[in-house]
Formats: sequence, structure tokens, C-alpha cells
Amino acid sequence: MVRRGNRRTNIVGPVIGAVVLTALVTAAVTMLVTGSRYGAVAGFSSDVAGALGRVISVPVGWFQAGVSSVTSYFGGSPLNQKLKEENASLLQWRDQARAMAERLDAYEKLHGIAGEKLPEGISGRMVGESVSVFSRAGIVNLGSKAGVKVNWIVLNQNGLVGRVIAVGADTSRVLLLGDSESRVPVMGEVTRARAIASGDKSAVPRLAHLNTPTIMQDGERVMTSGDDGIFPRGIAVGQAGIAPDKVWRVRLATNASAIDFVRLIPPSNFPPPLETVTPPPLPAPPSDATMRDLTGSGAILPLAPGAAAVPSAATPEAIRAAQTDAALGLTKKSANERDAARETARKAEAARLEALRGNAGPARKDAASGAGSDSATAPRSAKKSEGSAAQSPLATAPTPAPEPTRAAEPAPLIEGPN
Amino acid sequence: MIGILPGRLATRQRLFVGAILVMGLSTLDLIPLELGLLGSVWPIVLLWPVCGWAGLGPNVTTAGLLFLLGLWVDTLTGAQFGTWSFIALLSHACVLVQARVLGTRNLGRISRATLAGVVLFLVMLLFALWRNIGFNIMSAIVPITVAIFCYQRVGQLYDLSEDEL
Repeated sequence: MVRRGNRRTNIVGPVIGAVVLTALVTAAVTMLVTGSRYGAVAGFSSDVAGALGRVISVPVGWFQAGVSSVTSYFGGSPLNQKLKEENASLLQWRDQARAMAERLDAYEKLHGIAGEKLPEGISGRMVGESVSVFSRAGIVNLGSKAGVKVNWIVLNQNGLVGRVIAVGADTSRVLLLGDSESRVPVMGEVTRARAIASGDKSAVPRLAHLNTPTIMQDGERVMTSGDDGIFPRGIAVGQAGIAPDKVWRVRLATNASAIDFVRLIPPSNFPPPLETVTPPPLPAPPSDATMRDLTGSGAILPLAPGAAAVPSAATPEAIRAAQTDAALGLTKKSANERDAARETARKAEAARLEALRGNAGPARKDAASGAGSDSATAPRSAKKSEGSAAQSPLATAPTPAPEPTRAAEPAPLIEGPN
Repeated sequence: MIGILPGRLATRQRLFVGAILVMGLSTLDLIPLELGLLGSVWPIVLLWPVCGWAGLGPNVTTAGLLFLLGLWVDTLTGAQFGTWSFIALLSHACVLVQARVLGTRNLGRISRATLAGVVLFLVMLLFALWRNIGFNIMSAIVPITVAIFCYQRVGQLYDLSEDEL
């Protein structure tokens, strides 16, 4: 009896265990399908992980401080010198940056450009960073009590860190750029090539949907493009480069050092349009009778008055021939116009010379009776003008048409001083 | 070989001590120590109960504990709730079947851990394909390998058999 009861227990126990195991797998699948990484539960888990992260970060901080003090003890002097040099060069850059910022502000005011300044945020510290197989997330010690909300942007001194995906009372969970769910629209600083920085659980996210891969440059700085309306434009993300797997990737700027102090800023959130856009009313369709007339005459649609003829065969050869004909026609027309202008100018010049000859007789008589000094001058000038008119190639060459007022007053040439 | 525990506790006590150890060590994930493309240096400690508790056969307590441990890891890592529960329970079920069909119970500790690690890796790969999540293979292999080597030491705490029920 005892043996039989034990055997029955040994059979029932595993069966129940298998049923419970199956039920729990189903429950996990249900949670996966229906749940998400956002929401109140995620915020609560963020608080739990944040509390643990604070506890863990204390000894880690001690260890880091110890290592830092030992390192600085042995290598303090060279490091100090290096930092001084770096500081001096950075001060120059700071002055230049301030000057450029002022100029930029002035230009933006002049052109009426709406500036995209980063909004004021709040600063905090990353107390935990989890790098597991399926997620890359961090915990920041600022939560809903500090005003943080979902989708806030997280930055540090090097650039973009990620965005907030869950908010607890005292902590927030940050989706890092390397997480497989992270998608950030970015662009090259020089080439302006647009792409999506897509996390794939590595330290170097992929540049997916790169619109112009040929113009992207290796080592080019990559920054946020602001196309999604969440990330402000111009935040440094990293440097572009081709990975050994022949895929464009971005070396994150935040990998330069451990993420410690961070700044949380609200997202851009472009406002939606206030008024709904209504399309303009379309004209009424043509009546059946009109369509019948058109189809009867062989046309599809009536041409506008003065519109160019539609080529019957729009092949490249036909288009080229039409263009050549048009060019030749234009050349012939312009040549005719030029000849007519030359003829007009020639006639006008001849009329002017004729008028000069007609007026030269009385003037010579006046000169013979009075001004002796002018008697030699006037015929000489008249002869000179005749000779110049006869010898000058401009007599037949195209000359600009003389102005009517000058052609009508040849007197100044022969009238002497009164 | 010298184990980490001086004596042998009762089976249920060992179950819960093992679970608490997993919970405690999982929090190490919050310290960002990485090997670059190779991922985190911290072991996937869920492998230990998945492998060791399979010796008990299908059991309500082990299934429930694995479910809770998975949720705990989800809480710490920020993964979607149910991710690690699903992976741990499915891997556990596969190891159970493997032990019954292939008779791997009599193998050495490292061999059983290696087989369980392979199963865990395949389940993770399957999960990544199902959920369309980016899956860096090297960043999964390294923590699993570390966990397999650590199992040589901690296996005494997790290795349970049907005789202990």
C-alpha cells in the first residue's frame, strides 16, 4: 500500500508540474504579447532597479575613486600638464563658439528664422545601467516627482544618451541608443545624409535607411536631424563609419566615457496643425456632349489658345529635330531683323549727310562775308565729315540708328559761336 | 572538489537559497561592465536553476520559482515583462525533455551545463526571431559561457534529483 501510494504521488506530481509549467509559459507569452516596456508597471520596476542601483553604485563609486586616486598619484604631473594645454585650447574654442553663436543669433533675427534652442532641463545621475542580451537600459535618479515624463531626451557632456521610456516616482528608465528598440533619426554634419540610428544590441548602432550612402563620409560627425519631432535637431550622436560587416554604423559619442551625470530635457513635440486643411473645390467634370465632341474630332483634351503643338511622336530624335528646327528658325528670324536694322541705320545716316550738305552752302556764304577764321574751319570740317563718311567702313556697316533729335539738328557742327 | 556550501541542506531550502542567489547576482547587471562587442561580462545566472532543477523533473515549485526569477531579471534589465520568464521556462522544459529522452542525467556537471547552455542560446535565438529583436550572438555567447564555467562551482547548490523529493 505504501509503495503504491508513493508511486501514485510520483506520477501525479510530475503531471501537475508539467501542467503548471505549460500554464506559466502561456502566461509569459501572454505578457509578452499584451504588455510593453512602457507604463506604470515599468515605472515601478524602474524604482526597484533604481534603489538597487543606488546601493550597488556606492561600492562601485568607492572602487572607481580609489583607482582614480592611485592613477592620479602616479601620473598626476603629466596629466596636469596635459589638462592645462587642453584647457588653453578649449578656452580659444569657447571664445570662438560664443562669437559664432552671437553672429548666428543676429543672422536668425535678420532673416526671421525660428531658432531651435534646447529647452531647459533638469540634471541627474545615472545610478544603474543594464546591458543584458535583450535590452540596454539605464536608470536615472529623477522621476515623476521631478517632473520627468515619458519620451524626455537624455544627454550628457558627450552627446545623446537615449530617451525615457518609463517613469517611476523617483527614477526613470532610459532606453539607450544601443537597445534593439531604439530608433533615432540622424544626419551627417557635412553631407546632411539622412539615416535612422537603429540599435542592434551592440555598442555601435546601425545607420539604417541611409538615403545617400555614397556621399556619407567615414568619420563624419552624426547628429540628430529632428525629423521625428521628438529629438531636437543638432545633438551629437557619434561618428559614422563602415563596420567590418560592410554596414554603416555610428560610433556613439557617449561611449567615450562612463555615463554618470546626465541632463533630461523635454522632447520637441512639434505641435499639430491648428486648423484642418480643406482641399480647394474641383471644377465640375465636362458634360457627356463635350466629351463626345472631343472624341469625335480625335482630340483627347482641347489645347489652350496659343499652346505649343503636341508632337505626334515624342521620341528623342523627334524632339531633337524639333529643337533644331526651332533654333534654325530663330536664327533666320534674328538675321532678318538685324539686316533690317542695318538698312534703317544706313538710310538714316545717308539722310543726315544729305542734310549736312544742304546746310553747308548758306553757312559757307555766311563765313565768306563775316568770320574769316571760321571760313577755313567749316569747309574743312564738312570735307572731313564727308571724307570720313566716304572712307569709314561704318557707312555701310551696321550702326545704331541715330536719335531723331540729333539727326534733326546738324547746326552745331557748322554754326560758329554767336 | 570543494563546493561553496559546507553541508547539504534540505531540498526546499536549497531551492530557495539558489533562487535568492540568482536574485542577488542578477543585480550585478546594473553595473555596466562590458567587453565591447562581446557584451556583458556578467553570467546569465538563470542558467544554473534551469540546468540544476531539471533533475527534479516537472515540478510546481521549480516552475513557479523560475517564472518569478524571470520577472525579477526583467525588472532589473528593463526588458519587456515576460521575456526572461518565457526563456527560462522554455529552456527548462527543453532540458527536462532532453534529460528524459537522451538520458543526460548521468553526464558530468560541465557537460550538463553546456547542453543546457546550448538550449538556452537556441531559445534566446528563437525568441529574438519571434519578437523581431536585434540579437547580437557574441553578446549572448559570452555570458552563457561564463555561466557554464561558474556552474562547476555553484552546481552543488543547484543539482537536485528526484530522490530528494
